[in-house]
Amino acid sequence: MTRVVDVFLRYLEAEGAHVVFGVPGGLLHPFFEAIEYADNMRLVVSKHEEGAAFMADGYARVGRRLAVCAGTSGPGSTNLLTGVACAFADGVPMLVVTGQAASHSLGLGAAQETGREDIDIVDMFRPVTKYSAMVTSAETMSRHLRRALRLALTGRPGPVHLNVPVDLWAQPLDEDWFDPKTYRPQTVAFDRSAVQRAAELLLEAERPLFLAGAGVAIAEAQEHLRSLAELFPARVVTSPRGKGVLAENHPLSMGVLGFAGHADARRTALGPDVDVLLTIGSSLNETTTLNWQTALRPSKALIQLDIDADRVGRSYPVDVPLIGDAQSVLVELVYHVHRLLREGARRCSTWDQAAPPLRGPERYDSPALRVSEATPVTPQRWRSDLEAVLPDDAILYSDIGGHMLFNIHHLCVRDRQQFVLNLGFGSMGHGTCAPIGTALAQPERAVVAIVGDGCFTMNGMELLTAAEYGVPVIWVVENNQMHGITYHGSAMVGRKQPLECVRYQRPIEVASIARAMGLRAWVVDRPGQMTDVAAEALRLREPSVIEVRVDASIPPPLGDRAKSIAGFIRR
Amino acid sequence: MADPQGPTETARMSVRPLWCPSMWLIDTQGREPFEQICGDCGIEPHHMLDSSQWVELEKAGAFLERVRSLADTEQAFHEVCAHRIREGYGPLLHVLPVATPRLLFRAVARTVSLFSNVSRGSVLHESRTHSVLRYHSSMPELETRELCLTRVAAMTDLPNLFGLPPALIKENACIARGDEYCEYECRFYTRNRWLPMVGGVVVGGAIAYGLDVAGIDPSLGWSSLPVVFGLLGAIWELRKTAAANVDHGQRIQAALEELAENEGDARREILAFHQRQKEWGKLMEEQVSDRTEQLRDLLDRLEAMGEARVSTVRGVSHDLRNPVTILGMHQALLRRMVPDRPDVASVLDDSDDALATMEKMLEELTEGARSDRGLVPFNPTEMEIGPWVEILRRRVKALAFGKDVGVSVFRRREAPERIETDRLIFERVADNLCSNAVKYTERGSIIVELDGKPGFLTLKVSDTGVGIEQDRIERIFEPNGKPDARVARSLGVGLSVVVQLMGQIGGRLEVMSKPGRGTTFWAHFPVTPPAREEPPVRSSRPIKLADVVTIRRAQSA
Repeated sequence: MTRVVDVFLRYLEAEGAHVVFGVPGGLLHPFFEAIEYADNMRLVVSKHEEGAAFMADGYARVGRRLAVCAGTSGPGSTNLLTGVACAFADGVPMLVVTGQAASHSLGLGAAQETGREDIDIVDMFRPVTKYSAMVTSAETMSRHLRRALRLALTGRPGPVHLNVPVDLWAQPLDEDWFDPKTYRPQTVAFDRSAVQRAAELLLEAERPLFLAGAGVAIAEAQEHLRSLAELFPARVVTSPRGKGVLAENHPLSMGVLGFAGHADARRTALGPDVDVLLTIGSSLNETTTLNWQTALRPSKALIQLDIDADRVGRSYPVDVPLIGDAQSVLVELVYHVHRLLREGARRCSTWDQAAPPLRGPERYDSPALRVSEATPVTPQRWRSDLEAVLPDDAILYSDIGGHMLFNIHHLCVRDRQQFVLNLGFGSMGHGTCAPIGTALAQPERAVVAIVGDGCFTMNGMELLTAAEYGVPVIWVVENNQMHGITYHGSAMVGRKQPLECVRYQRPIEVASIARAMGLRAWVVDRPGQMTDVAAEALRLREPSVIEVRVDASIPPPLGDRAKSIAGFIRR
Repeated sequence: MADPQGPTETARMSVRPLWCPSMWLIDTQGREPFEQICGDCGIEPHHMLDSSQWVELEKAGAFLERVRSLADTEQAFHEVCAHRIREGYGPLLHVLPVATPRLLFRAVARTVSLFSNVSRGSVLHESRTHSVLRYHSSMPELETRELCLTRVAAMTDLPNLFGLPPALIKENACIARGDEYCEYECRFYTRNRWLPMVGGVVVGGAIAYGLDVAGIDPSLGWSSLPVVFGLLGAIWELRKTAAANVDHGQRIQAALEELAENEGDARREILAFHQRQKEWGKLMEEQVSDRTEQLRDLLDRLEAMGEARVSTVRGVSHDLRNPVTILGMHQALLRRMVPDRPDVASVLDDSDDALATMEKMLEELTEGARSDRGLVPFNPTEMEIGPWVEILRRRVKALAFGKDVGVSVFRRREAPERIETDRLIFERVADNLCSNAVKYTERGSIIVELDGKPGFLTLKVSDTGVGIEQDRIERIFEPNGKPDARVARSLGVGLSVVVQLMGQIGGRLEVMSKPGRGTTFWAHFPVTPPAREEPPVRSSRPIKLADVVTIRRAQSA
């Protein structure tokens, strides 16, 4: 006899999801028990449900598959909310399973009950998921599950939530419909004539510019972006979240536009020369467009490519909208450009004659601090030391805070390296926990998380999870003994005085805490030291922490953000 | 460089004030006398022209005395000390004219101690239009009149506010004359400047008086004529200031133009540098592409040689059969000719055995030569596709270098991340297909795409090259041996080898082509290697074309 939980696990297997992140508890016990005894499922128990959601997010972002996280009823499920919101904001496919009191006792006040009558968990998840429902009977489980999976994995991906009363799992269920292809269509359609028009416009452009966002990484369209850019050639700027989707050492890359971005990218994108702008998988939000600058509009045509029609034409008038999956549409664009070339069209791009994009130290705002010999080390210097030893295919995570601004501005994401940042929702702790899921999905690649001391104190306990499961993530914790972005940012708005309350009352010792949790740990405070320490950590491939004690007086590059905030406050 | 503040016993001064006399010497007397004088005073000549150097005060005094003797009068020496003085200020020259005189003289008083380690300056008294500077020396015995004159010259010729005429300097006291200090009264405005205005008023008044006397409307004359003439006088005087201003503006303009020109040069140089860098890159690519071409030729030749060897061996073994058959027939004939000779019969038996061995060897040789073609040992290993796409992209771009061909190389989401196959075979097939595409495409485009279908990785190579006639497509897969099988331009021995290799690893090949429009090849590689039934090297079953290749019909467009 097959039970509901067996059918559930078979669906997960068919989707290639072999890891479940979560914290077991009474009202979800049958689910966790089944995973414990299943042959090809693995349960990773986090220290807090928020961490589980973040890890599932990290697992899905780079694993090319669905991620699953689970929390029991009551606080176990509300703890998941922030992590799920992050996945929703960034379009990460995720199945969230939460526990519920037995169906026959709903409304009677069971312990940790979150039913419709009281604290309605299904409603709570609705704004942060593409689908949120309570499964009310065994027979409807497959239907709910297929619908949830269909929504999670088609169109713009995102999280879905199923709430299951505890008594349902063990009930018998007959099911023979498991093949994902039969319930989950491919959504790779696009408007052919729009693509043709876009190809013509791009070929005729003298100064074509691409603005690539994080959607490129979600659609795994990095190579296709590169192929298309090289055809004209077109220069490429990225959004902060899309950083590195075109290797930043590629001759056509101009770095990051927007929040903590590079002056060269800003000058070009907001300058008068660009005639055709193609945006790819970028929502054109405040941080990318520098507070919706009108100068971003090109002189001839704006082509916007996004999988979500709702994002197209939201902030700028669009001449050619391209709705669809970035990889499929870019491949189609490549085909059409080749066809036009075959038919004798000429490339009009004049980028070849222009001065090349700034590279090396010239790209950065304060190049002198990158080679500074000062002790304690500057945030710029240790990053340039770290860059030298990172492998060509490393996955780099950033958390949210002052260190993020330095990461965006002062890291060069090169070759096949990947940069992940949850700026869509901007939750601290994501960059600390999600790398664990990533390292589980891509065990052969080096995963390095560059986080701040604030993020470490918020969600650092999950490092213990990594130590327990031997997940080889390297955390580089930039310790300036305060919430740097708030401290330095507050000096630019309002009374123009830094908020003293965000400095720690007593210094924390990150490396000592990490050692106590069973991780390997080093302290770096001198220039040049990072190179050796990071090389050693990369060689060992163990969960480890590098605490960097930096010069806290150096403000992060947050000029533009401070201007927007000041503008919002005034309004 | 000596430290002016250092605990030094000797009195020293900066060579800056000596720069003007030095330049005067070089300009009027020539370089040799200048070096001669420097040598006599114990000063290195090149130190004199390097403004960061310091010399002993005594030597400086001696040097100035020699110069003074050449210039004779005090007035002439003053001019010597102001010789080309403006050049010494550098960019400061453009800043000084906006400073008020009071500020300027205060600065002079302050900077005095920067030029010598024994002197000190102070402002004794100052007003809007004049300052009194005092100069003290802790070693008055070393002060000479010439040193004092260099200071006077420097102050007199200091460019000042709006380029007004130089200040008048009155020396109230001088150390060289036995006083305790030098005292300079610097007056900025000369009272004479009021004279034209006063003169104008007087002249205006006189004219008005004249008019009055002459009886012409007195009210107009008395009230306005002195004012008008006074203004005229003032304007007359201000002309000088205006001229100085214009002059200053012109100098700044010239400096800016020079700057702009320099910047333009620098920009041009950067662009030229960029251009050179690009050309270098091009050259490199060109060389890489040449090398690749050479290597390919070599490979082709090696393959052709292999083919030739095989056919030679086959031909020779075939040809050898004839004499062997003849020998066998001769043996039989001999047996019949000498029937009753047992000794001869045993010799003939031995000879028969030898012939049989020989025939068997020939057969093996022929067989061996047949199965040898194109087959290599198959060693599957796991390979990742991601990094390999990068390598392929570089190769195809290098091959297509210098042609008017757009090249795109990418991988689809459906392509498997890794496959288990023989890397050598995989790369040989890919190289073959890609280099053929480049070879037959002069302009247009080449797309290399990695795609996937269940169990297979597909390498799709489409070009816009010459294309192949539908009825000749099959022949491109045949080895070079038959010359009549060649298409207009041979596709080389490559494709026949590709077919062999694909057959060996259990892959398939598809082709579609249209003359004048281009060719597309699909090579499907199995993700896991086929189960091995027998060692493929000695396989007796030759790989048939139809087992591996599918020819797609080109749609007529």
